[in-house]
Amino acid sequence: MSAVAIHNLQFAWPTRPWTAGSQTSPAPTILKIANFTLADGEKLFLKGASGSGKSTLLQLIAGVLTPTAGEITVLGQAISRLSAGKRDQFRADHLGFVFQLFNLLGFLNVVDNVLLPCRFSKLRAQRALTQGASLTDAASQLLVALGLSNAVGLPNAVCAQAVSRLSVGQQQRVALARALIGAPGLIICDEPTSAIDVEHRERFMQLLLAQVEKSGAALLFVSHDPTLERYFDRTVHLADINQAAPFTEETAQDLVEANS
Amino acid sequence: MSLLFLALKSLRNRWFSAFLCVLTIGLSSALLLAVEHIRASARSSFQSTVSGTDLIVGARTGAVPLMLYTVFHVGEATNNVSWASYQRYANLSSVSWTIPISLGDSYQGFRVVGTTDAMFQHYRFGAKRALEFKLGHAFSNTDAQAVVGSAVAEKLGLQLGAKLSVSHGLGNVGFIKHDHAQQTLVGVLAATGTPVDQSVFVNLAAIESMHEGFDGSARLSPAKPESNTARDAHEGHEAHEGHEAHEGHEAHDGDAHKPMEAKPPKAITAFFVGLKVRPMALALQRKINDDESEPLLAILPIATLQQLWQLVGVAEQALGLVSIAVVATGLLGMMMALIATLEQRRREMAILRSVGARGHQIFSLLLLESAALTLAGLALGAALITILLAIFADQLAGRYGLFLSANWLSARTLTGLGLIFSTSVILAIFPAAAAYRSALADGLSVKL
Repeated sequence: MSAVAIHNLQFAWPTRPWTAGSQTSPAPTILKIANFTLADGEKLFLKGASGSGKSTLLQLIAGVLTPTAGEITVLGQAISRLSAGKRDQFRADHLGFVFQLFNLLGFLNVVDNVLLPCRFSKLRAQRALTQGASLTDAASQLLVALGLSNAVGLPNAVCAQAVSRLSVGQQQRVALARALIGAPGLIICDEPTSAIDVEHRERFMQLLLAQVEKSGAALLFVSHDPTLERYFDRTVHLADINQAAPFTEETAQDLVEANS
Repeated sequence: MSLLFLALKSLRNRWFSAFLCVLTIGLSSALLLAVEHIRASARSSFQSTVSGTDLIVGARTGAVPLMLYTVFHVGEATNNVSWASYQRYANLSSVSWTIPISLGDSYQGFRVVGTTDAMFQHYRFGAKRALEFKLGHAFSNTDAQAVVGSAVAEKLGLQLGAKLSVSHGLGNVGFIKHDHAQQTLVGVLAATGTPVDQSVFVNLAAIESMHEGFDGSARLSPAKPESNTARDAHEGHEAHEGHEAHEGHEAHDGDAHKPMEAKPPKAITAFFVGLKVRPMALALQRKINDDESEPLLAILPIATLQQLWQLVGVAEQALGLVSIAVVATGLLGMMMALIATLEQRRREMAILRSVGARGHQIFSLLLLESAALTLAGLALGAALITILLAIFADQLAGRYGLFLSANWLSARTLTGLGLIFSTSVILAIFPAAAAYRSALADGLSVKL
């Protein structure tokens, strides 16, 4: 079983119902991927320039978008065949995300942010309880493992801290703890280091890889920064596997004309 | 449970705007509750302005005008009831008691009611409550004495023993003062919350005598009362006689008046009737209305009070509509506040989606926020009205005769609260649906 398996995927933004029927040309295909596999426990660096369809691919794997054609299997589950509600539940149970910025909910303290997936997934909550004596304990352990207690003080102090007081690097580590809580099978990171300054980036990457390795999850890491390649088992250039026409000035112009 | 936790945390984070929403809903719902409670109380106290009276009889006019000038002291009678007619009905075997009243005079802007002590024995208001004396006692029917309502005593600062000079006419400064006939204050009534509080009661005979003393008619018509007059009227007559003979004259230095012959009044303004057997009221009403010797009108107080309330009811409904509009404004304000924050909260929704929140959970989150705000607002409104009632109920009762019970809970107020709550949840569907749509469209990445 592989963590992610993609076959003959095609994706174009669906035409909106209220514009369908007019003489607009069909929306351009953004992604066309014949084959892509992420093995169990594999750490993969997916490289691509901005606008190359990276975020779209991640949303397809996350089950937020559904492919126009083809099949996506995540952790053995053909998620493109699931209903919207089941895809949401699957995402809650099995996926952890770290985004570029603004990962945290400002109105929750650090621990409540980390425990957020457990509020939407019983499975994650149950697994988190095997990681610590209580959910709070499990969250604290992860935070300590990610070096947050050193940065802010005692673990208890950081737990109740408002997230707005944290630096960007600390926020990204809290987001990582949230992605890892309850041991999901797949961690997806979308440019998680681009907002962190260079000297802290190294430390973040080491913590990330160590914790992902410890949890046994597969890691799909998306970035345009080639200096990060060295941390990963394998690198895939999105441009190499995506057979759709690259999104250029020209296609953008076509799109504008088609919709005008 | 998780959603409620998130909704409350999120609201706490936006505490100021949430606080304003709660305040708006609290104030507007308190207004609605106050209007409804006052309306209900006003209605019941209005309906019980006079009770226990089976018929009110006056000169022929409309039922509402008769009720207005006899009970509410609004407007004036255009005609009188002759003493003979009054006697005829007062002496019917089916009649238990009557209270004659004679209106048209005033004291310092308050209406003077010429009556007999039957007023204090038989007049009832509210739940058949009799008039009670806060100070002093009823006029004794032997002297020129007066009893005033609680509001009169309070506003004019009257003490027992004060001398009241009644003016003819209803202006604040009477056109003609009956200075020659001063009335001694012997009693102050307890507050009733009815027009009684605003009234000055004097002997019917005294009124008659001072008018006659003034225009001199007393000397022209020294008719003796018939021997079979009602007891009250008879006593009134004698009181009048005693007063003039023994004290009134001397007390006022003669004032160019000679002792007058006591006699019953020629006419009264109206009279209240209590029957021995209540169901006889309709028959007697018909009999009086068909009286061929004098054009009279008898009304059933309860029926006319209802008729009158329907007139007043327009204002009541207008007030109700205004308070509903205020509540609607409050709810719309809350909806706008929720919609206004949605754009800033797209990131929040995307995070929730990334950890597995479903579309309908985003929808429910917004509904929960709205429900929580409304519940808090309603709780505030209920607390406000309870506190305001505790503080102001006594003052309203004392000043305006509006008796408000501390318990504002009723089927209508509870229905009102329920309607506010459900309207708010229904209105919240709009921001909730907007959040739902944008959360699904945004997915995990928000391009701000």
